[in-house]
Amino acid sequence: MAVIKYTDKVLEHFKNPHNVGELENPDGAATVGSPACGDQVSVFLKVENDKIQDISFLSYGCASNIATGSIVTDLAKGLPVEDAKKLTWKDAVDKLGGLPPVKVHCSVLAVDGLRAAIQDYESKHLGISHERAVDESFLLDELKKVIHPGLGVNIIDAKLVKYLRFQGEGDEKPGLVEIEISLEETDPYRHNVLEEIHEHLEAIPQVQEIDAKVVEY
Amino acid sequence: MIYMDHYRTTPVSPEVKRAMEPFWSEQFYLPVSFTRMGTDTAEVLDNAKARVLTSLGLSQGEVIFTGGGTAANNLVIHGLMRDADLSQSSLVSTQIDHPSITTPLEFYRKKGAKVSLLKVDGEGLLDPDRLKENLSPQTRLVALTWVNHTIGSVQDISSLVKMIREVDDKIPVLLDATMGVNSMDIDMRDLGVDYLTFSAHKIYGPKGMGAIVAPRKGGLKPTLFGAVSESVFWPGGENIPGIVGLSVALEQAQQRTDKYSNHTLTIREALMKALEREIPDIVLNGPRGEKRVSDNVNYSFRFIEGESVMMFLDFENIVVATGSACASSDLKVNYILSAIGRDHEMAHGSLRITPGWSNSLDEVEPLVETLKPIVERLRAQSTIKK
Repeated sequence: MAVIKYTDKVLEHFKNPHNVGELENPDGAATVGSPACGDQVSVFLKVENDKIQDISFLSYGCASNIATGSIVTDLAKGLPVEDAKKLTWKDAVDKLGGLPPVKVHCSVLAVDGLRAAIQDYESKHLGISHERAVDESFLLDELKKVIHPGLGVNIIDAKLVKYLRFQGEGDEKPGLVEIEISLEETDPYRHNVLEEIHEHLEAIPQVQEIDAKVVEY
Repeated sequence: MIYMDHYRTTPVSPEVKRAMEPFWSEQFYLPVSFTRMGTDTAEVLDNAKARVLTSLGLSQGEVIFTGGGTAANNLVIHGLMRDADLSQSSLVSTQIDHPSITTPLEFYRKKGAKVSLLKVDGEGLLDPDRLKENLSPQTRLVALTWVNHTIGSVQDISSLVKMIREVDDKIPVLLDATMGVNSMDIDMRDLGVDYLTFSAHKIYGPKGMGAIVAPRKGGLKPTLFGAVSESVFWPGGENIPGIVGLSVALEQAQQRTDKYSNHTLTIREALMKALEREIPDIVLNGPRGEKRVSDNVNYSFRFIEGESVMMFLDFENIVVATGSACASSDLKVNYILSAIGRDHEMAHGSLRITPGWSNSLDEVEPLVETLKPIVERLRAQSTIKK
C-alpha cells in the first residue's frame, strides 16, 4: 500500500486557507457535493466588468477539500469569468504540487463548485440558462467527474464504462440508471470508484435507482 | 506526544520484547525432531502453547498460531466452509463485526450461502432473541466479536452463547476476542465457544501474529497447504519469536486485566466528561457505563469532517483515529456508525480515542484543550451550520 501523504503546499493551504468565509450579497453562489459523500464546498462570487473581483469558499471536508477550495479560489480571483470557466482540476492539482490519487476527486469538486457559482451568476445576471435534460449524454458528462485514482483519468476517457442506460419518462422504470463498469477484483481502487459513481449519480434528482454491475473485460 | 490510538496498534511491551529476543539470532532453529537444537525449539513452542491455554483458563485444547487476527478469523471461516454445500449453508454474524469476519462471509454470500449480518441496537448491542430467530439446522457458523473495535460496545457473550447452545449444541461459534483481551478476564471453560481468536499487536505483542484457540478438536479443514509443520492449518516454518511474543503478551494481559481496566476507565471517564463539558454538539457513539469497554471513547462532532480534525491534532503530536470516509482508502462511510443509526455527516465527523497503558490522566486536559479550538475553527469554515 502506497503511503498517502500531502505535499507541503497542500498542508500550507489546509492550515491557513485563503478566501475562507461567506461573501455578502454575492453575484453568484453555489454548493456542490454533500455531507453524505464526506465533502461539500460552497463558492461565493463578486463579479465586476466580467471579472471575478472577489471570491470565497466554505468547506465541509478533509484537508485536500480545504486546500483545493483555497487554491481554486486563489486561481480564479481576478480572472475574467470566461477564463475562470476554463480552470480544470488538473490546474488545481498542479498548483498544489500534486494530490494523493484517492484525493483527486476533491479538486474535481472544488472546480465544480467554481463552475456552478459562475453558472449561478450567469443565470441570475445574464439570463443564461444552464438547464440540461437528463439523458445518457448528461450522465456521461457527470461520470467524467469520477477519476480513477490509479489511472489519473476519468472513467469515461479510460473506457471503463462499458454500458450505460437511463430510463426517462415513459420508459418502463423512469429514473433507473444501468451501468456496467470494468474493474478487476484486485483493483485497489475498485470500491473507491464504485462509491464515487454512486455519489455522482445519486446527486442527480432525476436518478431514482442505480444498478451498477462490475464486469471484468 | 499523546498517543491515544491503541485500537489501531500497541507498542510491544518490554517484557514481550525481552522474551522474543533470543529467538531472532541465537536460538533461531526450527522445531526439528531428533536434534538437540530442534527439540529445544520444540520445547519453546510447547511452552508457548501451554502459556496461551493456561492464560485462557484451559488445561488442554488446540492452539493454531497464525499471521494475525485477520488470518485467524479467515482460517476458521474458510476451514468450516471448505467442504460445505453452500446452498445448504447459513452463516450468521452482525452488521458491526470486524471486516475479517464480514468480508469472508460476504464472499460466501456471493457463492450462494445464506448470510445473515444481524442488526444491532443504537448502542451496538445484539439482542439474543434476534440471534435466536436467525438460527436454523443449516447454520454452519455463528461469528461474533466480543468488543467492537470502533464504538467499544461489549456483547453479552455468555448469554448469547448459552442461547445458541439451547437451540443447537452443534453450531460452531467463533468469537473474536481481540479488543477484550486487555480488559476482560477470559475463562474459556465457561465461555462455551468453539474458536476464540485474537491478534497480538493489539495487546502489546508483535505485529503479524494471531491465534485460534479451540477447547476441543473441531471440524476445521485445512485451507493452506504446504510442508506440514507445528500446525496443519498454518504450514511452513514456524514464526518462533512471534509465537513466543504472542504467548507472553497474552499472559501479561490476562494477569493484569483489573489493573488495566481501572487505569483506562479513569482516563475514559475523565475524557468523556471533559469533552462533553467543553465542546458542544457532540454525540457519543456506543454505550455508556458497563456495556462500554474501559478503553474506548468515540464521539461524532457535528458539522465537521474527521480527517481534518485528526490531522490538526497530528500537527500538535496527538494521535487518534477517525471514522471519516475521507481517511479511508475506499471512501466508504464507516459501516459500524451507519449500523447504529448515525447519518453520513455524523459518521464522517467521528473521532475514536483509545487510551492504553502509556497514557495518564494528565493527558486528558491538554488533549481536550487542543481539540476545542480545532473544532471551533473547522466549524467556522464549514458549509454546514448549526
